[in-house]
Amino acid sequence: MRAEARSGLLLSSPYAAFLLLFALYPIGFSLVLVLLKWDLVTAPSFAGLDNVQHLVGDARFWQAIVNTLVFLAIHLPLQIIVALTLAWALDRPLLFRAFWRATFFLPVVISGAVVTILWSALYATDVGLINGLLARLDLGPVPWLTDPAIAMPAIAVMATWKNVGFYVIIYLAGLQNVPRSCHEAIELEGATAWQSFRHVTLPLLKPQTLLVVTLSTINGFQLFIEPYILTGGGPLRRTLSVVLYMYRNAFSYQKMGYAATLGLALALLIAVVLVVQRRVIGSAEEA
Amino acid sequence: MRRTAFYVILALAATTFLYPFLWMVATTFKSPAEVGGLSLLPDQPTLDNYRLMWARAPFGRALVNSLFVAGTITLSVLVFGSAAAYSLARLNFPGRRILNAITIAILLVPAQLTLIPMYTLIVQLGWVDSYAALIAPYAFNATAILILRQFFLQVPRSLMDSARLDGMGELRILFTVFWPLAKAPLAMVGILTFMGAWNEVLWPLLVVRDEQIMTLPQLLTVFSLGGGAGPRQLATKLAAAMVLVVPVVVAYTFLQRYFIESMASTGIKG
Amino acid sequence: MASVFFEHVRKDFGTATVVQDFDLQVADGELVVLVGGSGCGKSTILRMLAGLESVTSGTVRIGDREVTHLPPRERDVAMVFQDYALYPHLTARENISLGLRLRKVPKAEIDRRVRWAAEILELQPLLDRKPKQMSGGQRQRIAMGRAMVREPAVFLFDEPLSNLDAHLRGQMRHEIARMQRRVGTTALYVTHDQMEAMTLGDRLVVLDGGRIRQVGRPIDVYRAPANKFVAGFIGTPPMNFLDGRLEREQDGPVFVSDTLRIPLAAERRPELPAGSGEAVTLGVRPEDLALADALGPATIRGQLVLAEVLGATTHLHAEVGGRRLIAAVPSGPSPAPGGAVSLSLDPRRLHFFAADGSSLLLDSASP
Repeated sequence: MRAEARSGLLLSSPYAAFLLLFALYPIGFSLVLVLLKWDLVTAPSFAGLDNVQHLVGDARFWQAIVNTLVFLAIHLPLQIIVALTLAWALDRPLLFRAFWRATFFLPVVISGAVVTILWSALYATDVGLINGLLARLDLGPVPWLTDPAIAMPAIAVMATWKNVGFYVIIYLAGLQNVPRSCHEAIELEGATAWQSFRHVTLPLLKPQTLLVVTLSTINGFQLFIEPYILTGGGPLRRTLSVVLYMYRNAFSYQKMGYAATLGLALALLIAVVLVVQRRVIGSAEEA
Repeated sequence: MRRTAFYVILALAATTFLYPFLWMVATTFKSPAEVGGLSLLPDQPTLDNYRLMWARAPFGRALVNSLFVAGTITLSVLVFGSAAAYSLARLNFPGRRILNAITIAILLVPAQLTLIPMYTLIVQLGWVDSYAALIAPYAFNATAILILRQFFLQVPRSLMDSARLDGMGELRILFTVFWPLAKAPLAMVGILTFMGAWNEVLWPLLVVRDEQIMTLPQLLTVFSLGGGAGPRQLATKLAAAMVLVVPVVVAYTFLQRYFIESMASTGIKG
Repeated sequence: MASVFFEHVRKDFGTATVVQDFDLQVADGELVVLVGGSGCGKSTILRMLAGLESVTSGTVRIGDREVTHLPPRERDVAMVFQDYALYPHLTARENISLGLRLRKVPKAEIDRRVRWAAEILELQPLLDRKPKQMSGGQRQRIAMGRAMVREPAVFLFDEPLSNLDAHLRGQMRHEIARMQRRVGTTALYVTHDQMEAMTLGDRLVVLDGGRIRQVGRPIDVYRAPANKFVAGFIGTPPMNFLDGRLEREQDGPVFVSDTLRIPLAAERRPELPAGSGEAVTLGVRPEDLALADALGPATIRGQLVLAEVLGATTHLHAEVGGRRLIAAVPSGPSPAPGGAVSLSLDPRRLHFFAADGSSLLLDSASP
């Protein structure tokens, strides 16, 4: 065998071994696990489609899906509007531009656990910062995390705060690709600033918006640490996320087969949602 | 005139992002009576919260664990990852195309799918509560390999050929010729990998129960779940969070450009 | 449709004055070309008229409205940009009609105008394409259509042909001239290409360093340049310059340089300075030099360096006394490179410039 081929195999074999063990095997085994009932202590038993059946009728699972949709309904529009506004404000010569940019991006860099703990302090009903500020305005304390209707929206706002800086950078890059002469042309045609934004800037930002929506959606379906620390999935399971439920099934209830089923369902669900989103936003670009 | 409007918007936004952090820092120095107040300067600063926090859980140890785990992972991804990227980019060997295809396909698989099977694998290997469990599944990173491979493809073949003629072996070529050229992508991959590993929480929560092995974000999470919601507990939890935040913020203040460029460029290109 | 007035317009960028005391009147329906090298301020002047740059001092009027500080959207001007500035996500038809749609013009009227512009510019097959599916020339025509349907008071063209290849440029020049004449709208056209300037403009404004060096009809600017800058800028190949002195002798004034001695016809030069020994620069266009058989009074002798045959015309590059001269002569037998060559000047077609660059001819417009 040629020396180059030998070296190639040698250099890439650790990677290949890794892929086999930690990528290909788990993917394959996940499909197997769906058909098993296993608590990791005793031997696994074959369960056929029991897990899938249970999933379909599992009120907790469906509640988690609904919770995620509530999250997305608030998080996505908020994310787009805030990120776009801040990017638009930054897209011009400004003093301290680097400082503003760095400030907005700061929460992106901080660990999700820290952000969640920080917001647990902000949202705390009695000693939290937000209720403290509201008290100054003579407004009553709001049970941010203990009211079933408010808890998930509260998490959605927190997630926006954490991630918006990332999307500001994405939108900024997109804004800088809009040719200046297009703005000048439409200004000469009689457009107001808003019309110029709506007819020139916004359509040309479609790719960025699609990215924001896609990544934020994935993020929404992957919520774990936020409900885990803030609410434990309550109140009344209204902040239960699929991943949290999956974790509980594996770690606490020792139901590996069912947990894997949840994982597979989630993966499929994300894929479907992303395809639909791409269709909707992508086709609007063509129109 | 309009200029000031922009600065007002930006200042308001910046306050929303900075004020909570500043408030968090201040609260960690407050006694229970003052906790919850809006002031950024405690009237009677105290180190009690830090003392309590440090005594209650092994944060020092967790910090070392995090450094070790994140550091090892980053090293592995950079060294072994670039070896793999190099061979995929520049060497001809049987199976190269398949390996490439799998690398790209892997990126399409959501993490949720493989989470449970990986957990069962760790249990079966007997690696629960071990550093191996924290490090091994992250020793290679498909995204990193793709980024490095992309870069290596652009290094002129002539450099490689002349190095070979000089008698250099492949590893030599990789580390003495390619690496110096790849400072930018290596730095980017390094930052992304380190930050990702440093902040990872779900996986450690699955495979590690022993407090001595826990990483910092994990210990922090566990710690924050205990205790009540009273002012003292709140301040102590925030003090614990500070241990995790401060090194990152310090690094970020000096290296923000690199952080932003690394983390955002994956989005801009993707 | 209106006239345009610039009165004492000045533009500073920080401490640099980019446009100084600019005065210009453009008649209704006229096409005026602003021409000059880069940095001469021509684009800035255009953009000040459009409202895309602020005016440091002075007044700008369109018709009887003062527009100096009005925002661009209220000035009723349309502009054709160098990079076309088409909206990439819209079809040609949508590009052309967007401005009208924004102004809530009734749909029937929009369709009528689009059809009208499409007919004049031959755009019909392109209307449903997107910019990326069109060539540079096609995109430029769409940009022109967009400007036309607005039926503005003034058209502005900002180096619209600079991004096109040479052959296309020639074609588009005719399109633009034809369109402007047909529509009859006042137009200001900026270019650095003096050929565009000569062929398109009713009048030229030659600019240098933010100042007007000459205003006039193309033929007048060509025949009677007001100063050395205009003389050297307009005309291809550029005018040849020779430094020397004017001597008064018994028979009349004589131009003397180290290599030449040219007696000047008196009728032609009444305004030359009376004194002797005045330093002047002689200017002669390549097309006013001819191959001479023999050495005569108005003949220069030099060494042929290069002969460029362009077809019917040949450019002879000759070295005369250390200076390079170009002569544009009809193609035919000529000396071989390296050999001696004699060129004769037409004494009626000579230009003279004083030490400060201004022309010494009476019939040229003062700078």
